[in-house]
Amino acid sequence: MKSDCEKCQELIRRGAYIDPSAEGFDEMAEHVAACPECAKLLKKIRDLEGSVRAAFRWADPGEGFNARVMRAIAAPPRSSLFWRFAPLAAAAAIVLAVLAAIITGRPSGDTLRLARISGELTLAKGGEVARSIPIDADVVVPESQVALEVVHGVGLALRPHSVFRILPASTTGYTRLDLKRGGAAISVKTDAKADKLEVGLEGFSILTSDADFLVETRTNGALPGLYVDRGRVVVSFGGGVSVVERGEHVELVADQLLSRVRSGEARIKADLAALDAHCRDLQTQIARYEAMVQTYGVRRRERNDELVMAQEALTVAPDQETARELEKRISKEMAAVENLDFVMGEHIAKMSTLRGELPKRLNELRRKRAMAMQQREKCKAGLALLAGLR
Amino acid sequence: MAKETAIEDAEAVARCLGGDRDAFDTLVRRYRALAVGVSFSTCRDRALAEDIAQEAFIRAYKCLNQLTRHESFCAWLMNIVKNAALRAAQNVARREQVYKLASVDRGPHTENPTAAMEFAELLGRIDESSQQVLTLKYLHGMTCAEIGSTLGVPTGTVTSKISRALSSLREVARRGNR
Repeated sequence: MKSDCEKCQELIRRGAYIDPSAEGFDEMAEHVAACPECAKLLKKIRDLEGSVRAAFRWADPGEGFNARVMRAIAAPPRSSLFWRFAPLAAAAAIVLAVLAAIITGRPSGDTLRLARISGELTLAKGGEVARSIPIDADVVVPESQVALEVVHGVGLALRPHSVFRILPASTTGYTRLDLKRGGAAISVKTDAKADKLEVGLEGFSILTSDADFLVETRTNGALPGLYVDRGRVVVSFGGGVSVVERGEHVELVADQLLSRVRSGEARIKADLAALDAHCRDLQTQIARYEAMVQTYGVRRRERNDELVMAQEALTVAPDQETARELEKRISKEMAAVENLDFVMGEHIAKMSTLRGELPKRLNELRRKRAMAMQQREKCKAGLALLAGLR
Repeated sequence: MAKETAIEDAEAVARCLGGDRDAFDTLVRRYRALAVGVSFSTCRDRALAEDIAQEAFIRAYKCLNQLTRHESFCAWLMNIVKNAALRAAQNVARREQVYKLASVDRGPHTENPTAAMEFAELLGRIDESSQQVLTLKYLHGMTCAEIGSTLGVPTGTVTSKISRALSSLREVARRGNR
């Protein structure tokens, strides 16, 4: 027995327990089933494996992490000027916001008024100015959050108000105005010049600096429909195109918009393909685990039958020696069944995790497909209108 | 197995260098938990560890053409993570010193340890090759044969590597508990 234990422990050292396809797994499992000492050793290793799995689960930052990294590496190259000034602009914006709060702000309910913005938004369609709307808005910050809220006195806002946040400089080093809700929102000034207006659509972020503005799509797959440049802002969305006039500069930038739309579409297509492949892989994995569980189920039934037969035989054992032999066999079969239960349990747990993930991914896929269709339609309409406006 | 397992690290790196960003997504998915674990073992702050890991991946992508042995992507990445985590930890230490000098109470900056967290920390203390096989086995649930195909080594070598990696982890834990 001693040499069997040594052999089993050698197999364990060589990693025979790691998965059922590992060399020596069956031999090891058979011995462990009959030897409590080796079973104890294996149990310790199984516990360690469990801890490692838990540690990885704990450390895994999830799919959002991938999205952030991929977005960061996909970002268009910035001018050196932008990078030089972006942190400064971010700091200045915060300082100005605080100064504005000190100068103009008085607590009102649970919000604090920071500043007031005013200007004019001109809606244009088919080259003709359709409507011009004065904007008179208060910039307030809810005291409970690090968030700025624009409350429109009069405005284009499709919903009562829009909320966005100024996020602290992220690892990519810029301050981002993140539109949170509202079909079209009037964003806050980030510098002291009262005549500066920026317009954002839901799903877009505007990067700001002293030097220029850039537009970045967000991970929800929204396609760009907005372009902001020094002195010029063009916005396109579902129902038409809006031109924000600042001073006397109004210029259409359909070419840039078109190229952004194309790159956005390519990205959405790639995202959808990746997600689709991921769903198919999940299905394959589930099928593989199902097959493995079935195989082990058959083996377990066989061992269990052996166990029942041995137990029955024990009840009619003719002598003590046979009874002892049968008891040994029963103990061995019980351990084998337990071991198979453990392996099956592992596979079933993995399978149920994958089964839980699959509908989520399929839903995500459906949602993204629908969103991509909507965005394409929006962009088509926007581009057609832009062409008409030129 | 998931899509990522079908591509070897070296192949994924080559594809990235050829302009295929999806291949890098695969590498991020494969090593993100390990990167956070390794980073956490130095900085002991989960949120900071994630930021460091994110920054490390971005840096790795930008410097990918400097990686001469494509199959060593994991080890190379973990070096970037470790260096970034060390720098971040030094910054944190400096800041803490300033707070201390200014007599500002910043409260506890480390998280309450849990078993999983402690193990995540231990993961950062074993060698890169061990970290890599443990990630593929216990995070991605790959079989030894699949790991072998991903790393380009025989299945038998994979089982021994995993077994050795677990032993190292146990040894590190034991030394830590002394």
